[in-house]
Amino acid sequence: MNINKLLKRDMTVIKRGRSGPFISGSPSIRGIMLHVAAAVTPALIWAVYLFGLRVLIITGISVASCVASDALLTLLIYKKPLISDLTAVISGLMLALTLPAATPLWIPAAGGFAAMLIKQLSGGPGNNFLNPALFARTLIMLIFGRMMIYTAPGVQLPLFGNVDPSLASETAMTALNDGRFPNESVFELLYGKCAGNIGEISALLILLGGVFLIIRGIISYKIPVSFALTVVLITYLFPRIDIDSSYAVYSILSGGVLFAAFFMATDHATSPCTGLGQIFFGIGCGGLTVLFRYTGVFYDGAYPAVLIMNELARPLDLLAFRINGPSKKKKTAKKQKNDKKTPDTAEETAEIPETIESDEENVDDGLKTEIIELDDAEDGKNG
Amino acid sequence: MAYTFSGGLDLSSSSRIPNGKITKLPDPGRIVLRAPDDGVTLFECAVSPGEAVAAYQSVGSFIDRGDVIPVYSGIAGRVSEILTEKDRTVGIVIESDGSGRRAELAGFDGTLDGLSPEMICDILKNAAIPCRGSAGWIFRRILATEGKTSRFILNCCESEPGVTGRRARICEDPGTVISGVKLLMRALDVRRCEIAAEKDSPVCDVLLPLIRKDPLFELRKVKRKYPQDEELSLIYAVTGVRLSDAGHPERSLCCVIDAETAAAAYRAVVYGVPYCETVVSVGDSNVICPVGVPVSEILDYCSVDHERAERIVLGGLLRGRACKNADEPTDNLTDAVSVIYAKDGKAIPEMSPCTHCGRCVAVCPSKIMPYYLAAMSMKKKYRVCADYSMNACTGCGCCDFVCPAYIPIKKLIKQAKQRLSINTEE
Repeated sequence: MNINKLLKRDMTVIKRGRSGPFISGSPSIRGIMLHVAAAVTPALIWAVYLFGLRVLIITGISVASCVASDALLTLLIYKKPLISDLTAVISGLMLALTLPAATPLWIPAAGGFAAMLIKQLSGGPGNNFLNPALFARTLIMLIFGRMMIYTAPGVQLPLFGNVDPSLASETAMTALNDGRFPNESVFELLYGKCAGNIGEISALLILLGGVFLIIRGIISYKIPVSFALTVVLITYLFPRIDIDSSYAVYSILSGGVLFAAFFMATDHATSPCTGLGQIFFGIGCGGLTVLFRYTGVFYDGAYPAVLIMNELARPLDLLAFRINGPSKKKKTAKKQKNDKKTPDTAEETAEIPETIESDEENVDDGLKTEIIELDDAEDGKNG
Repeated sequence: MAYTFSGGLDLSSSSRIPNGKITKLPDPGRIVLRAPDDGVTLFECAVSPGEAVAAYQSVGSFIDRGDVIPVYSGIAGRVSEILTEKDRTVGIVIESDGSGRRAELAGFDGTLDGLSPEMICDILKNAAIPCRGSAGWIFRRILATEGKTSRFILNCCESEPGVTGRRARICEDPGTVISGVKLLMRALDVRRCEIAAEKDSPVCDVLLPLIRKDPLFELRKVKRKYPQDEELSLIYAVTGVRLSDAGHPERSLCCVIDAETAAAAYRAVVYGVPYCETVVSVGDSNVICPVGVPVSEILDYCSVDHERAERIVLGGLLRGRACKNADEPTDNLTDAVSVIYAKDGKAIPEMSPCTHCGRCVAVCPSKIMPYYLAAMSMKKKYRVCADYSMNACTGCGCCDFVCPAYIPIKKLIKQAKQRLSINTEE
């Protein structure tokens, strides 16, 4: 019997050079992006039901702007054609979901360009240290903040033209920011019948999408759980309005906390990889969110909080490794240093000069798209 | 509760590959015995071209860091060629004459109670028994732990999917395995042996009756996970102690003995049989082959088409490496031959940049950051790799398996290790 037939049920056989595993059990980056798209679809459909087809037009413009800008910028900056791994589509989708349905239509178009600009300027996909969609959203919040109009569900919105400012309605977030009690009940916020950004209306649908991603192994539960728990804990212990313990519930259900926790903070390129780093990251996001909401100038603190924490993703990984990584090496290294009392740190961190066989391979550290074909001098197992 | 380690891959749905009966490869045309290509081991030839050799006869020796380990021929025949590279002997070719003549073997003449640790090490060394599950020779492993440990872990776990040789061997002859361990325990004065096997493995049912009344043995049912059969994973699963980085100063904690090694030790001590045959899994069949048999012979015997194969992989699909051609010989640690056809899988598209998804970190059994090491290795910052515990990498390939960007992480880390060692030697 062919072994590959037996294996194929849940993994793919892959053909690569001489070494390395020949099977892969991972979805491709494209597959991961499709999962994310599927996860946010329920929330998007719910928004279409509440606010009408204008939601789809905003989403379409945002996605189209992102894809077009990404292709253009890749060509201009790297002189390479766009890799069609759907990352730009997801950025566009995410940006649209953080905008209100009544946004002027040119805002998602401009936002899409800004998002791809920050992504490509910081080194292309995977190398960006800021979540592109969040960067664009925060930029929009800072520049065009007053043009954002939130309308109550059920209000007829024009498909194209601008929305009449008189239709504006108060959101739960505005009430909380003003130190008042929101008009909506907890139940309405939970299943989603309130004013707000497209993607963050229904807490239940966000949870549904998030749990789907966690079950499929696309994201880790650590960031969303630590993020949400931190927000709940701080708002429970130090409520801004001394009503009762329901302030914590209102805080977590209103605004973009849940959406940011499940879909924004878990963006692969801009969040830590290590488990401990992810928990630190989540706690940092939650803490900053509450701080921004209590004393900051933003409409909603969740997105800027994640954006600030994005920069700390890689350092948090290294910190987590220092705390949680293989410990023996650290101790022996320290011991040796103490024994010698001549720490040669300069030598340790210095790069090794490429003295040997540097001609046989060609590794660029830009886009890193070149497969390294080494001589596969497999070291004997009897060593 | 099943014992397990952190990280690793859950391949349970595909590792339930049945193992057929073990069959013996009929006399192959020729075998090639080569020194491992590690730059350390030397091959010293003791025969000349044209000389007749019998099966189980010593034809030379490996000189590995001062130790002389004999090399045995698995077939009877005539030495046809001595392979040299850069004025150094690297191996020999033996053509079979079909006679099946065997060298005379003699077991240990004396009571088994009188075996001292030195004597057993000597026998294991002269029988050239390798240490499966990790690199090296078993006598070295025993010397490193002798007198320091009072605990064995018998490795009966399954390897990667598609490699069922160990399971098949234990199921066919559990008595030899247990006798081998008992023999080693008596010689080394070890009072405790924990048998690690998957909780749903047939191995448990086979071994349990043999050890039920023995207070020295205990069965530890581990979770089915890859790479459970690796030394460090096993020690962590059974004892809860995480060993990391090269050097293993804590090796004295316990000594991991592979089931096949234990069986080979028994045969070596009692019958004097040297180690020159391995069980190779091809698909769902297991074949006993002499060491050094060309891969094509095994595939022909199993009626696997290798002419149209895209790649022939020496070893399983996770740990193995591709052969240059179908005539490449097996070595004493080969446990499987896998074949990939053009229609089987997909050619790897261009490696895309790392998205930092964190999957490699989540599955790494050594708890290192494979993505970071790979990135540093690409930038040739090998010293930084060493700072971030590169040496803890055991090369299990879990990170490659889960990488959505198809980055050859295992290869990059290995490259960093090689370059750094070359640099420090200089």
